[in-house]
Amino acid sequence: MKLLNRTAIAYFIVSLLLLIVVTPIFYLVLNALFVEEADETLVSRKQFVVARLPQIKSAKEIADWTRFEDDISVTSLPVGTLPQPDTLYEGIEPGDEHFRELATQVMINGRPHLLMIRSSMLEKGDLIKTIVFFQILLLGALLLCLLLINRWIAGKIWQPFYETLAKLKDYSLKRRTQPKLGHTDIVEFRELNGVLDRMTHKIQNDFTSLKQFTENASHEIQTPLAIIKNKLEVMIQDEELSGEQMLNLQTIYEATGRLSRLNQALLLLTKIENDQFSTTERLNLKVVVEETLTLFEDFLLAKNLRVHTDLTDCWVTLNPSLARGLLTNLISNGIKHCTEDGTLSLMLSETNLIISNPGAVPTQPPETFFERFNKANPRSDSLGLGLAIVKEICEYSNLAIFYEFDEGVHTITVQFGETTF
Amino acid sequence: MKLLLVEDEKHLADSIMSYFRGDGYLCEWAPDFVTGSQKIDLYEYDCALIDLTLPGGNGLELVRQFKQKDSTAGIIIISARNALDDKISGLDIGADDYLTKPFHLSELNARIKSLIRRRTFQGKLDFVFREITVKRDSMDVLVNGNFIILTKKELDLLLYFIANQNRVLTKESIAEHLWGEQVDSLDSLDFIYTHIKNLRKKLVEKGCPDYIQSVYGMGYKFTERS
Repeated sequence: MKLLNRTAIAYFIVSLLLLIVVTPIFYLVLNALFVEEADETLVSRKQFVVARLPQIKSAKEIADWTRFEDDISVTSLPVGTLPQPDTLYEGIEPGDEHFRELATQVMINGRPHLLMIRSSMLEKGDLIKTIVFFQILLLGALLLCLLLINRWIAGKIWQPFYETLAKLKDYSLKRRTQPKLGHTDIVEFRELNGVLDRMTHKIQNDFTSLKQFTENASHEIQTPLAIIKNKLEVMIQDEELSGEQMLNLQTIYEATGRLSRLNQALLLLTKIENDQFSTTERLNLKVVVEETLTLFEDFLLAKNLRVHTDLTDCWVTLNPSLARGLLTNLISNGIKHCTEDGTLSLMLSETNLIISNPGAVPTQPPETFFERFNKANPRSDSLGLGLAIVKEICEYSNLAIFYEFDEGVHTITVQFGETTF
Repeated sequence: MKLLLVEDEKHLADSIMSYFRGDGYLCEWAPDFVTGSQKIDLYEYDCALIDLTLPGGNGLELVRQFKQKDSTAGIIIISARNALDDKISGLDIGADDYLTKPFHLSELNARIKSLIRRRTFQGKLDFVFREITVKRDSMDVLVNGNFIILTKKELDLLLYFIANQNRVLTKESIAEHLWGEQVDSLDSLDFIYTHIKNLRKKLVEKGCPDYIQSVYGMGYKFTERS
């Protein structure tokens, strides 16, 4: 949920609650006000009327008088009625007319009479209806204003924030460009941009120096490795060596070889990450596939594998070394995991490359296949970097890659997206 | 045969020199740029191995110096940098070969042999080991004067063996020499055995002694059995 919508809803709920609470209070206050006003009117009317009562001399005069005064009625009381204090009360006439009435005992012509003065009041239902109507109107207007203000705020005030957000979304360490955060008058956003600027700068620097370090370290490792390897090669020429010594040397030699291959693979990964394969060429992947297959002929033969190919011309824009690296690793992976006497299948169309081989049911979740140092068989001498390199190449070259296992067949699909035109 | 080695890493230089001295080469070592440059000025060499990153300068400059001197020396660049640019510029200014560290000494040996062979004998010399002869031009293989038919890989293997005769060749070195870098992506090098076996069979059938000697699990040695 958007921040502005959230605040708008909060505002709206609070306003609604406030109105619900306020409406009855408002009604009660208003009503009390009306009653008080009506009572005051009645009292002053009574004084006015009482002041003129001495002029009335007969019952006939009373009747004549009250006939024209709708709000006044006079009833004679039996003689000897004890004087009562004035009472004020409310009532409803037929026709749903509300009124307020003042009853008082007066002496007309020396006889006690009950004088009742009535003042009609605003109907309660009408009052409530009016109040609720205006409150809803108010609520609506409030909401409308809120939405308009929010829209305006979203458009104007929050704009630098959204700009920053968009730039950060687009930010990738690997692209090596700092996001350029714009200038803003709003202090909070300016602070945010400042902090983000420093942060991305630091991250970028750390990332670059780490990558640089990895690459340098890999280079530096090459020399001692070369020394070990070459010394071993000199050593094994010695004919005096016993069989046991030779076997030990062989173990050292193989381990060194592994270390060397590992280092090469990591160096390749680092180089890709360090953007050292940015030069691209238009190349026909069909040719690369065919060339790579030729290189693997002997290995296919050694494992007695058949190859089924269905290749069409496919022009892609890729770095040639990476294209070869991709195919080499995909094919060697296929050979490695193919069951003996199986068929390695390669299909290349204009949009994708599909390589599949029959093999054992995967023991690990497929998502982990492309992770570094993940091996199908932990005891094997494999480095577990082949598919990690494939994935890195695909990511670097904007190619999508999928893996699936169906009915004993492993299939890896590489899709050429934007790069194929 | 005189060889100049310009390499700042002493241990590496030591093993290279001790490997080649065994083959009767005269090896001279220059540990830095200046020494290398002086030696190039003063002496003649048949072959030079030059590292690119040297104390005091870039090895590429030494390659240029050789070329300016119109030296006939074959030049092999040995570098820890596997950058394509280095490779291209090195070969552009006249180096004959480029080898990335770490490399197999037997591989370096094979390259030096083939380089010297090209330079000194204009590539006219056949490869000979006892009764085996490989014709330079046609790549025909004769054993005691009889043709034998070898596959491309068997021929490469035989030539590699002849270049490194009497030396133990590791399986890795053979695999890399014959199949290149993609052997790195394979788990097992057992497939080499098939090719060795076939070559051995073909040679023995034509009356050769079995020169291919297996050295424990390490590799093979092409030698006359004592």
